[in-house]
Amino acid sequence: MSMLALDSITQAREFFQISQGKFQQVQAIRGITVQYCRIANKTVALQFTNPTLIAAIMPALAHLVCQPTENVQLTVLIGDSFSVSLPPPPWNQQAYAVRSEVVGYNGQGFYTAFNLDSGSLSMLDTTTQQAIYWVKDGQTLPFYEKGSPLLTIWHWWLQTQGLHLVHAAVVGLAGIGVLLPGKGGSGKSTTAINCLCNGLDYVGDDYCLIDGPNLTAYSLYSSAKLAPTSLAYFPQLMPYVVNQELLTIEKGLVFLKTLPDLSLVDCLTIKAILIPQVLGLPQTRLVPAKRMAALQALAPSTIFQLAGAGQPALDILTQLVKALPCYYLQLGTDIDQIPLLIREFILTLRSD
Amino acid sequence: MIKFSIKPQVIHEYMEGEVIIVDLETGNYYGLDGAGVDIWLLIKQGLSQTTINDLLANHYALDNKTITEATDQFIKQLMAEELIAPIEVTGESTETPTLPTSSSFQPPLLEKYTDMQGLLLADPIHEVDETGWPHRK
Repeated sequence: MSMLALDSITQAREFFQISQGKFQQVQAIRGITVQYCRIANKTVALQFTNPTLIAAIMPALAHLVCQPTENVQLTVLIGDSFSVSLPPPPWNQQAYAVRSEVVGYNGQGFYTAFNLDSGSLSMLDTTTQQAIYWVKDGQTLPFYEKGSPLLTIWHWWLQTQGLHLVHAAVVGLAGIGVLLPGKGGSGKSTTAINCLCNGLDYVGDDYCLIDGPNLTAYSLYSSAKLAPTSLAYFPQLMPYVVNQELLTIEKGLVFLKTLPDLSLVDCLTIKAILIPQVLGLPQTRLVPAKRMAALQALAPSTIFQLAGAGQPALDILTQLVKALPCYYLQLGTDIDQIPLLIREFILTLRSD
Repeated sequence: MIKFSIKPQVIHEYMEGEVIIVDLETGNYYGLDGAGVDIWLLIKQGLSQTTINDLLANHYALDNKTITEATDQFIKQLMAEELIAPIEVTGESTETPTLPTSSSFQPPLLEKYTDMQGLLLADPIHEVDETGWPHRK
């Protein structure tokens, strides 16, 4: 690493420590509210300096909340400009890059990202297992951040724990799951919600955590984001859409933990990849697919959303795809068929 | 002697006779097929264009002119997409080249996908406020 690069990492470390100090000052004066979550057998403490941020961050994580404990693997300090005044960043304007990366301030266990769209800072120090999430105004967080809060921090930290975020849905039955990769509009979220509403088990509709060697998918969010045209298939969800007044400009956001009688599960063992395809045909069918088709459906949309993801992430996704049979899930226009076919297919996987 | 380096922002994977390429700067991704897979893997191994042409002509029992025309065009496409860059070197790679697995020559194919460019969160127009933090304009 060059001297210039080492300088930046030193600055990142110092900035992180100063910022931690700011959070600690607030804690000493006004106290903090702590929520504990259990993610894939790991416990995380979320320390809020402003209780109003809890409403922005916690609904999508509500299914992971656990009892307070001292045995915590990661602590995330969560604040906003109203509660914690951070110093100006040590990087300049040119440091802001795609995927919210802050160029030059990632390395030697430090990770830094700033989302210019939402005005949110994410930092992780793996040497102390502490992270910072700071936003200008939690009330104006976009729906996608409320639906997938702390995404960047989870991505960074969980990969150090051998778990990898994927942009995919996972549904299943009796411990067995299928993974549905695909970019926005591919039908994966609608299919996942369709399955959930028809009695299948649900791990996630947009992002899941993968333990590759054990082919296990873990739940991260219990939120669903559906376009209005997809929401129309599930009128029972409409009363629970939290951003109904904004449906002309953004997807509907539903926090599934608030609905009764839905089977949200912590994890499933993945036994196949089903690539959703909307072809406009009446019948839903499963058709064998090349593994490269599955990788193409999974890798770009995953990697393009995750700050710092690169060749190692692509290698892991490749190993996952190589380990599983792959099919196109050709989604028919009769949507009632879809969960039935998936259920039948999973039952065949159970007997394998 | 001309060789090619794969750009640092480009990641790629070979699987079951196909290659996927992902460009982390542009948000484009690509599928390679036919002899495009062979050419890419041989570029990755650090072979010069001349050696690549000779290897493929010999493997597929085709004349050098046919292979050279196909390879030239394909490499031009890869360069136009800024996936590779030419480098002038004096020596050939000593690595044993991986020969194509196919026995029949299929023209090299580069399929480009741009549907996920938006995911890279291109820099929205922003300004820095008095606290030093950026916000959207």
